Amino acid sequence: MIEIRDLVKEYPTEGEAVRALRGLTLTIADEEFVSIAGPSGSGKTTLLNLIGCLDTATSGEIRLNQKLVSGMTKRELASIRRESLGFVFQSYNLIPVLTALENVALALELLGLSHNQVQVRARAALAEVGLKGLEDRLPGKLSGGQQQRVAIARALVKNPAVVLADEPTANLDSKTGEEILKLMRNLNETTGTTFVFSTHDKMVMDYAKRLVLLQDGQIIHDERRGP
Amino acid sequence: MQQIFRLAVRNLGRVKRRLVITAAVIALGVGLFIWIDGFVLGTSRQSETNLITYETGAFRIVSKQWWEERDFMPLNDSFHGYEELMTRLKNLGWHTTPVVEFFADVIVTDGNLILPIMAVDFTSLDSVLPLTKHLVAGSVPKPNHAQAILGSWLAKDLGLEVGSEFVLQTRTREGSYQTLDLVVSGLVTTPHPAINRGRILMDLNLAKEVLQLDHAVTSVVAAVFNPYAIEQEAKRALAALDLSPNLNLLSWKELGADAVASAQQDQQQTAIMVVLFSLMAAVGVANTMLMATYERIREMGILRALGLNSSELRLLFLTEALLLGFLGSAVGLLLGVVLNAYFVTQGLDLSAYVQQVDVGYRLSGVVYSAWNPPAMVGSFLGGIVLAGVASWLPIRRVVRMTIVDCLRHT
Repeated sequence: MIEIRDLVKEYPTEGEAVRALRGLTLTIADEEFVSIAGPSGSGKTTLLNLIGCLDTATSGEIRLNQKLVSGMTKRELASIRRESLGFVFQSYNLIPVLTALENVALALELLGLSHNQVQVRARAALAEVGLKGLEDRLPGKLSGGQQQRVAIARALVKNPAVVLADEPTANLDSKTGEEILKLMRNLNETTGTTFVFSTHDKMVMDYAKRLVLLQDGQIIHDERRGP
Repeated sequence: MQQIFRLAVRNLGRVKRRLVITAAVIALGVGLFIWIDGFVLGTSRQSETNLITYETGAFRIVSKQWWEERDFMPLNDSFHGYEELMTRLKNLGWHTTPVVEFFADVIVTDGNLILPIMAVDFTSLDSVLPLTKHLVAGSVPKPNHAQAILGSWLAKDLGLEVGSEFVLQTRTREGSYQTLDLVVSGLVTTPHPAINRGRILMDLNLAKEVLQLDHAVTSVVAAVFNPYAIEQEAKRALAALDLSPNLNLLSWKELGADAVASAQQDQQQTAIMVVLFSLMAAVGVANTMLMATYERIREMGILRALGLNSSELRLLFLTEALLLGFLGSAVGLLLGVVLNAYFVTQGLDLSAYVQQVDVGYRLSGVVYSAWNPPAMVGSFLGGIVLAGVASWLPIRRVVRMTIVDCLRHT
């Protein structure tokens, strides 16, 4: 479960500090499939970065599975990222010199698993996202949709509690984007992993089971939808 | 820790271009350092050996006055009783030979030249200063004959050859002018350039007679007794001899102070050159490491997002840098060994150069490099440390960036 209370994030600038989030409060239950939507500059990416322990809040609280993240040391935050969180980025963020399999395996190697375990689980994760047979391809030899599938496999392979996806379909054509969304939703239903993704795309919002709309760093609409 | 090391090893082989460029810079620096250092050491040792073997001997006994006025080689500061000294030294195990050195005007058909003349006892000379072993033409002067051996380069400069005649004009011990007609009986080409360039050897007894020296000589030269402990042996001889107060026992270092100083100066210059070269290599390595680190900022962001903490990231990149340094240093060591091995066995022929220019070193002909294991180990380790140090600052800077900034980096 993700519990956010009075979350504020300010970015210092030369003049007045820019407030990206203005006292945001939100709770996301386990196994939810949540879309954080809103126009550019509404604070979607900032919120995801804070939930994902990639950045620290100016004030307020974030709890992940009852653990208070705010105030944790960098080492503790790294540990949370390693064990409990998976990321899918808009620009895939795969390591270009690693093959699809090596990119996925990396997340497991950091957990200290044996070579055999890493290989078996990484191959299975790639097969699950429909990339069987493409394990040895470098990211540069894969299409945008295939790269995003590798990123999803990398995020899911360690069985995290939460997968955070920042504009996961923004760099993809609508057909491929839809396939990715179907895949994410299917994985949410089969694995029970919580998915939180940001978007400003109407089609993407339609796939969400819960839609949270942001504007100027505040929630203006929070709607749960049917299955 | 094991995980980080495994990742580092794998990362190293992933970008071969970066690996090759950085390792090549380190290898070049280490290899050239080993070669230059070996060459400098080799020339220095060879120069020292030639100085002792052909010029100074292990030590000499001279009068204090003669040593003070050595630039003029005054005959009136020669000393008597050298035979007894030689006997005592012989009893102590030293080979010795008496020498008279003086300046003379050497007159040949085309002109004249003031040169140092060395009058020697040819029967005992070679056991102390093996000059006549290097005869390239003619023969050793017969006892009491007006004959001389010349350095081959000097003979060429003066237009003399075996059988040619020339005249020496000098002053006797009492100061009166004396002229002596000499015939070139032989020519020597030794490994010592100053001998080849400016040495004239003549018979000692003849010199004593014409220079009115009676039984005096200007020095007694002792051969090397123990090449590994010349200084200690000289001290031992000095203690045993109980020399009269007007005599000095001078070691080869004192006798060849100019050569030692010149060699030291050259070594310092070479050391400066090596340091500058190493600095250039260091800048090269630092630059490639800097580029290699900065082009991986996004990758560092991804690794941190996947859960690698700052210490682990620093350790990962430092391990990579040290492995790269190890690889470059190993190749450099191999390169240096191969380069140096060639110059240790084949040497570098400097004869054409040293005939024209006096470089201070007592070297002529082929110069050989030497092996210097401590410097080789030092440069090998230095290459590794350099790679680590060069990567440390950019890594530290990247680790200080936020993960979000790393991920946005293009």
